[in-house]
Amino acid sequence: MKELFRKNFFYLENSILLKIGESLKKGYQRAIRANTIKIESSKLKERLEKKGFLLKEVPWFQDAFFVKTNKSLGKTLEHFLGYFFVQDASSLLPPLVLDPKPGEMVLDLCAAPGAKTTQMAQMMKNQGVIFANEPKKKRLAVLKGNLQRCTILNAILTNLDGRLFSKTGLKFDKILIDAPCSGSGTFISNPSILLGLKEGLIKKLVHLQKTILASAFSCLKKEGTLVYSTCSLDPRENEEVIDWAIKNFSVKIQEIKVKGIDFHPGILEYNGKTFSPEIRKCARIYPFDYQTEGFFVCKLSF
Amino acid sequence: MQIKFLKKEEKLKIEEILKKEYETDFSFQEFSLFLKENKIFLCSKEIEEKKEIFLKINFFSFGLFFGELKKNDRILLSLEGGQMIALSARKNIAFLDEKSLRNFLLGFNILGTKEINCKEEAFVLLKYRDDLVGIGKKKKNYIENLTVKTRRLSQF
Repeated sequence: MKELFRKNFFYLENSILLKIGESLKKGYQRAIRANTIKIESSKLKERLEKKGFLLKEVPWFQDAFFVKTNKSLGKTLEHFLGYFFVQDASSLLPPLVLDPKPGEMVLDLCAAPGAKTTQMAQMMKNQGVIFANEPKKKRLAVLKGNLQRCTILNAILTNLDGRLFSKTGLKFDKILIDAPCSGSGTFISNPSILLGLKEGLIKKLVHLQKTILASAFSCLKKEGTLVYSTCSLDPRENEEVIDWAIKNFSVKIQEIKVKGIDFHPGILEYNGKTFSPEIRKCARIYPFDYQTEGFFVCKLSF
Repeated sequence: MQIKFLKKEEKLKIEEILKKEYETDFSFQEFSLFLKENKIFLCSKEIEEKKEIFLKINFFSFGLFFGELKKNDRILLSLEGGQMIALSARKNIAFLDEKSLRNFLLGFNILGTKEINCKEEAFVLLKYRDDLVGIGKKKKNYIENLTVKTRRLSQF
C-alpha cells in the first residue's frame, strides 16, 4: 500500500503523504444529507438515532450528518421514503460553493447519480430550473429515480455530451461541473481505486475535462458563476485544467470561503510544471482532514 | 410525446378528484402541472415559464411524476404524490403495523389493517405511524400492493 501511495501521490509533500496514510487506518466517515424538502433534519436525526445510528453534524452543512453504523443505510424506511441521501461530506462542498438560489437557472453538467442535483434543488427550495445533464444513458435512470425519490420539481434531465452542451444555446446563472475524473481522492472509501490509475486514462480524462469546461464557459451568463470540482487529488485533473482555463479564457478564480471548514490551497507546481499563483485560490480537501473523500473545488467567473 | 401544461380550471378538476377520493384540500396553486398521455407531473413554475426554450432541445424528462389518471375519474398516485396529499387526507387510508409494513416493503399484499373509510376497489393511502409509505388497492379481504417492482426492497 505504501508503494501505491508513493507512486500515485508523489507530488504531495511528505508530511501530507504521511497523514494520508494515517487516514486510511482511521477509516472513512460515512455521511447523509437530510432531504429537507420532505423532513426537518432534526426529526430525521431523532428517528435514525432511535434505530441505533450515531449521528454527528457535518460542520459545513447544517442538514448533513456523519453516521456511525455497521448497518445498511439504504435499507432503512427513511431512505425508502426519500428522507435522506447518502452523500460523502466533502461532496457537499461544490454546491455550497456554487450557492444556487431559488429562481435561478442552473446547469449540472455531469449530474448522475444526483447527490449534488438534489442538494442544489433543496438549496433552491425546489424553485427555478436545474438542467441535470448526464451523458451516459445507463446512469440517467438512476438519476431520474433519485430525483423522484427526493421529490424534485425543478429539474430537467438531458442526455447530451457535456462537450457539446453549448450547442443548445442555453445560458445559465450558475454551472456546476463535477467532472468525470480518476477518483483518486476516494481511496479512503474505496482503496482499490489506486490500482486502476493509469497514465493513459489520466491523459484522456484531462482532455475531456478541458473540453467540457470550454463548452460550459459558452453557456455561462456574463455575471454567472461556474464551479469546477473533482474527487481526484491529481493536479493534472485539477490545477492544470484551471491553469489552462485562466490562460485561454477571460475567467478569474474567486476566493472560496465556507463556514465550518478550512481548505488547503491549490498546488502551484507539478512534475516540473509551474502554475499561475492565482491557483492558490482553488480549494483542496484531503481525506485526513475529516475522514472524508478527497476533493478539489474551484470557483470561476468572467 | 405530447406534453400539455394544465390551465387553472384543469388543475381545479384534478383537485376535485383528489377531494372526492381522499377528502383532501390539497392545492396545486404553487406548482405547474402537465400531462403526458394520462400521467400527471408537477414542476416548478419557472420550468413552465421557460417551456418555449427547453421544449426545443432534446430533453430526456422533467418534473415529478405525481400520478396517473384512471377510468372513472380516479388517480393512481405515485409514492411522492401520496406523500404530498397525505397530511390533509381523511378518506381511503389504511394503517399498517410493523409486520404489515415489512411485508409491504418487500412487495407482498397486505392483510389485516386498520382502515379509515376505505371503499372496495379504491386506491388507498398506506400509512405507517405518520409516514405515507405507499399506495394500494382495496380488495375484499386484503390490500393489493401497487409499489412498482423497482422500488421494492429485497431486505428490510
